[in-house]
Amino acid sequence: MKEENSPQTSARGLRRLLQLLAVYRWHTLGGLLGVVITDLVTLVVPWLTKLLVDRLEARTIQETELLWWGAFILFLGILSFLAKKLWRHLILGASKRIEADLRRQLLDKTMAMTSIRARSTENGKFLSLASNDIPAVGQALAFGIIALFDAVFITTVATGMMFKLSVVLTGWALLPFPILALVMAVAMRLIYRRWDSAQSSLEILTEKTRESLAGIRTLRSYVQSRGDIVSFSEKNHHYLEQMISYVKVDASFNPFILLLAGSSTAVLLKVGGALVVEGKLTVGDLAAFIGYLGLLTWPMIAAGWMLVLLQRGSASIDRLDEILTHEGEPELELPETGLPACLLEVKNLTFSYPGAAKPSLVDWSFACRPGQTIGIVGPVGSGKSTLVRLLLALETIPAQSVFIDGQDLSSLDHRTIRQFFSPVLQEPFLFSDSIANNLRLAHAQATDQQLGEAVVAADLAEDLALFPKGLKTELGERGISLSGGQRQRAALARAWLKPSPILLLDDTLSAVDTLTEQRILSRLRDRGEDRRGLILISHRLSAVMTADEILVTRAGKIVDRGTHRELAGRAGLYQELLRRQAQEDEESELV
Amino acid sequence: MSEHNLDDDTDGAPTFPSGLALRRLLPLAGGTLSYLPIAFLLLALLAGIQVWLPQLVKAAIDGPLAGIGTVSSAEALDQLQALSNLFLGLLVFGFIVDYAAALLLHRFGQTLVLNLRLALFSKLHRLPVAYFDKNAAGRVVSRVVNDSNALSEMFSSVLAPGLGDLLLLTAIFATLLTTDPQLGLTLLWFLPALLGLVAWFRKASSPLYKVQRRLLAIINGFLGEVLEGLSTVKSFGGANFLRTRFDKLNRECYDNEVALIHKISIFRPMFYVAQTLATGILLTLGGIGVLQGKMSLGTLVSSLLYVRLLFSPLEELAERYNILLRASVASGRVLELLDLREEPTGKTEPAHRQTIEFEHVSYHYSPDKPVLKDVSFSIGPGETVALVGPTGSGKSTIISLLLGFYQLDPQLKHQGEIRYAGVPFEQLDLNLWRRRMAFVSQDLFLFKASVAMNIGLYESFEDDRIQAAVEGSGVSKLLSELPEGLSTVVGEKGHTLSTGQRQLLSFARALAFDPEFLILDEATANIDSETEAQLEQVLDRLLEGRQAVIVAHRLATVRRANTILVLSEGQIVERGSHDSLMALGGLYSEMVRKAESLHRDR
Repeated sequence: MKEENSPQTSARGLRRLLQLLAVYRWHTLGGLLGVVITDLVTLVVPWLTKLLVDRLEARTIQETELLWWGAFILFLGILSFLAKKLWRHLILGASKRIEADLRRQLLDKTMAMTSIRARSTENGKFLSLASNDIPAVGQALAFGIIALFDAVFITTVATGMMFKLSVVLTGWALLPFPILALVMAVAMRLIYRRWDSAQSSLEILTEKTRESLAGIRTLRSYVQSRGDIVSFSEKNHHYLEQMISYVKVDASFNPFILLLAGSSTAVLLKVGGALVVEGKLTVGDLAAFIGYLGLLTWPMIAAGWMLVLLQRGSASIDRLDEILTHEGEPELELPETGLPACLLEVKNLTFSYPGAAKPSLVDWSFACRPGQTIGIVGPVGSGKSTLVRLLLALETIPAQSVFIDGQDLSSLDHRTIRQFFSPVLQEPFLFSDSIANNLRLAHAQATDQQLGEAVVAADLAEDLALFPKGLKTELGERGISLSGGQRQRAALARAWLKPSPILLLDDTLSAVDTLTEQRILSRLRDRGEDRRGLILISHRLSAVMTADEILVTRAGKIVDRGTHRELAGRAGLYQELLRRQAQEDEESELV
Repeated sequence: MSEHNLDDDTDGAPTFPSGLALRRLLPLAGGTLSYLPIAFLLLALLAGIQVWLPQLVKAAIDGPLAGIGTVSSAEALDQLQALSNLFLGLLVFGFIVDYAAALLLHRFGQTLVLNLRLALFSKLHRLPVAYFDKNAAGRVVSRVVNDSNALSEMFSSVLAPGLGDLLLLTAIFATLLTTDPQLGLTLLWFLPALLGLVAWFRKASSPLYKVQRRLLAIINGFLGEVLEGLSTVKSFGGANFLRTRFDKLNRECYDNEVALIHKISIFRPMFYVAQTLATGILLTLGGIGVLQGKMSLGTLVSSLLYVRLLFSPLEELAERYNILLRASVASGRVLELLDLREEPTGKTEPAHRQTIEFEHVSYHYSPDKPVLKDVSFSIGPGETVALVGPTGSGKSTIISLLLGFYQLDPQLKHQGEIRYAGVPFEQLDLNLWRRRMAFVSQDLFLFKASVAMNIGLYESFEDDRIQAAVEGSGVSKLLSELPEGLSTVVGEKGHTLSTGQRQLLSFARALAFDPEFLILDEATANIDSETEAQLEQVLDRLLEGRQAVIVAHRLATVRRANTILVLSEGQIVERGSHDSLMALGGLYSEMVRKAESLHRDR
């Protein structure tokens, strides 16, 4: 609910709102027609009142005619009902349709975002686009624009009718209205500003409560309840103060409307009454005036509200457009059969992150043939993860450095590059969806048998057997939460399923216990028919020992390479790593 | 925002908070409770004013304006002036009364929930810790914040204004019925009809609203996850798959909105029809009355004003009913929380540095799943006991029992006894007992606060003491890397720390609190060798001269212990020193062998 203190209605935003509405122009026009009919009916009633009151006073009307008029008013009511129903259907329907369209566009544009942009997009802000801004646009379209039209139309016609009855009286009676509108506009802003600060104060209070609950074991075991309650109490009081300051303005709202709208009637009694006494006006005119004044009150109140809606809506569409008008990059679509095995060659690859002083990768060369396993080891900062980001085209690949079957990857677009690699990252992301759907993300048309194979390859079958719904088990908020190891293995199953020629495992099994790790690795080694290449990145030597070639890396460079036997046999970083791990025997984990 | 609607399942709820609930909640308003009767009086006064105003119009029409010709125009103008002045005066008075009533009511409502929130929050600190194992944090937060807000909304915008409206409706109908019984009775029919309409709308729309909230939450969650997992989506080419799933949800949501619009576009316009119909009836019946001389013209016009006053309270009824329902559910939940049994505690002050004994302790969460079976051991002064065993073997239950988070309850058929210095745990003052010890958990929970605050918590430790803890725990090196040293804000959205750094920080906390008794749940996640070495050093310092229970994962730590307890499925299957257990050749030696062989492989 964050809102700038005084949102300015941007002309661009308003134009965009109208553009959105223009897509549903027939809905809109039909809706406006409905509003006009409704308004005309509403405006006729005071006139009828005048007519009847005057004729009643003059006794020039019969009872039967009165009954006819009564029936006519009922007819007007029904007509207006239909017109109102019509415009609500059309306009509200269109606005909901637009909201759904916007949500879909947001999804598309999000999926097309470059990873750099995605990283710089704050999750909270993004979520607020979906949960606050899109509804705000809908509201502005549904009520802002229509209500504005309604207000202007009714005000114009009602004022016109009043002028027709008496110019002088209209002048007097309308006197309080501009004040009312002005006060409303100011009050509205004040109300929203104070509401916002009350809301953020409430957010702080909520966050405080959440944090205390999350840390309740610490607080209780260290006997910190008193201090924590005092800290809560301060925030609690602050929220109360903010609420009271909001309420002070908000609570004056309705009484004030009653006061100002009513004062018109007081003016009417004095000035209008005098005109009746002078014979310039009839009692019926007076009654009609009271009726019209009643009609004017609503648009005056609504004016401030509508302005706020439009301001919010236009500010919201501006914020949305930051993402919606963004070009993005094309999406990956895999051929259904997947790609054949291929040869990956990295030749003299040197790479620096934009703006970085030192290159992250210096002169890397290696090849991964179909069915081969390449292991990469090295301490933090050796460039392993940068290589992964490059191969996944999450960073820009330098020219003439990475080749698939002889073709330079830098000349291909992102989606083509990503077809070749199936990654499992150290902290894999799983969606709050069923396990099956999480796997199918990698291969929508995968058969149940293929799913089953992937599950077995990742050593996930036993875990699934324990879940009540197996593959259909929901993960995340509405479902169960997996352990770190289970998450990694589910991600491995997902990667297994993607029909790409090279599997890319970045410290994938760090949260899996050693025995399971060995089991999975031996399955990966004996992938038999499967001619996929395998790149294994790990900080545990045990994971890479059986690789066809092991690259030993440090500070962005490949410092040594060879098989386990070769590397273990000569002095160097690999040996040192081996020794260190032997030392760590002491720290070996029992369970 | 969405959290507000997290679980407002109002199905089958009573429509009104019970009298008992109100009697318990109202005193929370404290001194502002006296605002309530004053506000009611003011609202009654306001209803009177609102009914009076049309009477002035009637007086004008039937008085100076009707008698044109019979009264002198000067006299008529004077009368009009007087009426107009009175009208304006009443308006201003009404404004003051109205505003004052609203302020009083809000002040009352807000004060009540202020105290309610505090009561709820304090209650959380007195509940058994086991409560938080079973209840999701989100829901509990919603009890404290949202439910109490629902109650405040009820007091400030339903109960009091509703009562005001009720007074107004009564006054209007009383006036209408006395001036023209036939007309009044006819209009009275609108009441049940509109109430029926409100009831219909509520019934028809509330399931749709519920679906709407659910779907929007899912859709927004979906979008958030796509952003969060964008690299995954991209590298797997899952866009089309996700789009298909999204479209299905989005369509469902839109269809539900359309169904809702159907209901809305009947409900609101029906009120308008009713109002027009009432005007029509009034003009016809009233007109006939005027023709028959039974009604004055002024009465007719003023009745039109009454009809206008009549509808707005009814229109708001549906929304008010919703608020009332929510509040009723909320009050039930809030009281339920306030009524929960608190953590029992004894009164005996625990002695210093004495033996802790577990004697034939059996514990379970549900009777068919025992967690601890006949566990006996003791920890003498200065001794370290290591707990070893696979996940689910009962290690953390023992820790929770030691901390008093869980307590043995004979009513639940828990067996055995835990004693400190011979005193059964139930008789110990829990807070004093906890002050004797420090609990170092596997993954330190970081409060979003400075490092200093995360070490000393709410205690007002001297700077020296914090400094000593920092140096003693080796956190000083970490601090030199942090932009603002001890004042650097860590925790969510603050500076992030690695697992190793967190454990160091929790050691610093333990040192600062200088406990007699240490409970340590060792971190398992990858810690780089440097930090690891540091941890070992600090651990030595921490264990020196203290009693300790360690859930150990590393051989190095286990070897330090005087006694190792090997747990399996809730039972102590082996106990003794490292050497004696190795000699025994049982589960422990097998575990050690397995771990060592894995390392030889590497």
